[in-house]
Amino acid sequence: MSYKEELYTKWIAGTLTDDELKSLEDSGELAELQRIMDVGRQLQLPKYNHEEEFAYLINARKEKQTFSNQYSRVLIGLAAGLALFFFIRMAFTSSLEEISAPYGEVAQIALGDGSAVTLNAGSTLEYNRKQWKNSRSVSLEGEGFFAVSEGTPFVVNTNNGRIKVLGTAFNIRSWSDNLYVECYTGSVEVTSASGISDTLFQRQSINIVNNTLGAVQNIQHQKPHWSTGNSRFYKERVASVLAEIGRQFDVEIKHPNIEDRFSGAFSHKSLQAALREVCKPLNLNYHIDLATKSVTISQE
Amino acid sequence: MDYQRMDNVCKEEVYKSLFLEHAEHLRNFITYKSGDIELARDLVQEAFVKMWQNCKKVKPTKAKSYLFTIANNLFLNTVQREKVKLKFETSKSHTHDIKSPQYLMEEEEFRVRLEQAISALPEDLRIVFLMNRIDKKKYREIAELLNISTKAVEKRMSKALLALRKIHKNV
Repeated sequence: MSYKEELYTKWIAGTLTDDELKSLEDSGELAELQRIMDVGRQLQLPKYNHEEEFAYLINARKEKQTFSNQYSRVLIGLAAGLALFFFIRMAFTSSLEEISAPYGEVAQIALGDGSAVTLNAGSTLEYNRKQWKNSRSVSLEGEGFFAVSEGTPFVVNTNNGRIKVLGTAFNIRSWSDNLYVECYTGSVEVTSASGISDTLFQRQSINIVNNTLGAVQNIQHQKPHWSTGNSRFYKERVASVLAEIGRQFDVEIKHPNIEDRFSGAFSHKSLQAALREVCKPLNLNYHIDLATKSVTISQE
Repeated sequence: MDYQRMDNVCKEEVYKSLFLEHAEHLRNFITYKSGDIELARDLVQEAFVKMWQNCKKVKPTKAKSYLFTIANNLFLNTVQREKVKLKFETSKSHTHDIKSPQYLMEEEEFRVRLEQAISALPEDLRIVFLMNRIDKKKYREIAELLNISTKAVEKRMSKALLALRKIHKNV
């Protein structure tokens, strides 16, 4: 601690000796310090409206409450569903496995034959464990990165089409009416729900929107961007981009119908940063409500 | 304040008096840290919602430090750091009767410079200085809320003054 700092600390604590006080006075410093303290004392932040804020608070508290009520209703529903599921499962001794990645997280699944799947946030994978040796077939809702070991054909069914491979690494994204497949090694056969197929080789991608196959594109990367903590888009519908933010950060996003397309990326680290990346180029405003875990998007 | 003797903060009157007593200081505290007053408002709300959810476990005497800890944690979790830029208002002091325009201008310039210098202070110094000056909190109370010793608060205050005094040379 410097001599000055020590002197100031003593002044603040009120433990200066008379001599020390006099030296501060004589050098003019005391007046300067006093002025800083006095002007500092006049500073204020904008008025805090206690009544209004308290009214908001009561509201936020209620919303949390109804949220947990809804939550418990969902839980009861889930419990009933689970009971039914186990009943049916016992009755038919099937062994359907369903694995989901919760919002804001990813899930890793080892399929037993050396093949592995990583599910992106909010995605679900379903497969029959007992039948696995005979038919390597899974259903995917959402997005997953597959590393398939060689063997019998490996089939992924989605609402938008089917992907068939022998042994390879690839990523599938299937949300609403959009199917996007990237192949990193080997080759994959992609068949749309309407029955049209195309084959992807190493470092190629294809986009299928509403059963219409786009051109095969070359890609540079060797694993999906989301597995390294980013989401990237090329001329994607804004609704799809916002839905991905919702899944990555576990927030509900309310937005008007937006015609624009978005090309760009956001990182999965910060919700604020992600919203800024997406909203700024599109001239959109966003408001984050932490109490209800929701985001409201508005047009300027 | 007889609510201090209650076991918890689940009673609406207790909860409300705690809100009236601490909400503004809490908002100020997060604002000093972040420079973002709207964020601070949100986090105050969130901290009080959390306290309501855990009301059975919180004693009124511990509520203040509970709220400051929660708000601080919420801030650390959500925010990505940007350069802090604080905007203040001034309470006019009516102690002197007539001031010359010259004096007023000089005063105003000094205030603007001081505000800039405060924004540029390291976070820990800025918080101590402003909690003491704006919230009129005693060093002992600041120490309690920040979980440091009173001595450390006095040192930070002195470091803040040391940094802020530099603006005098430029006026």
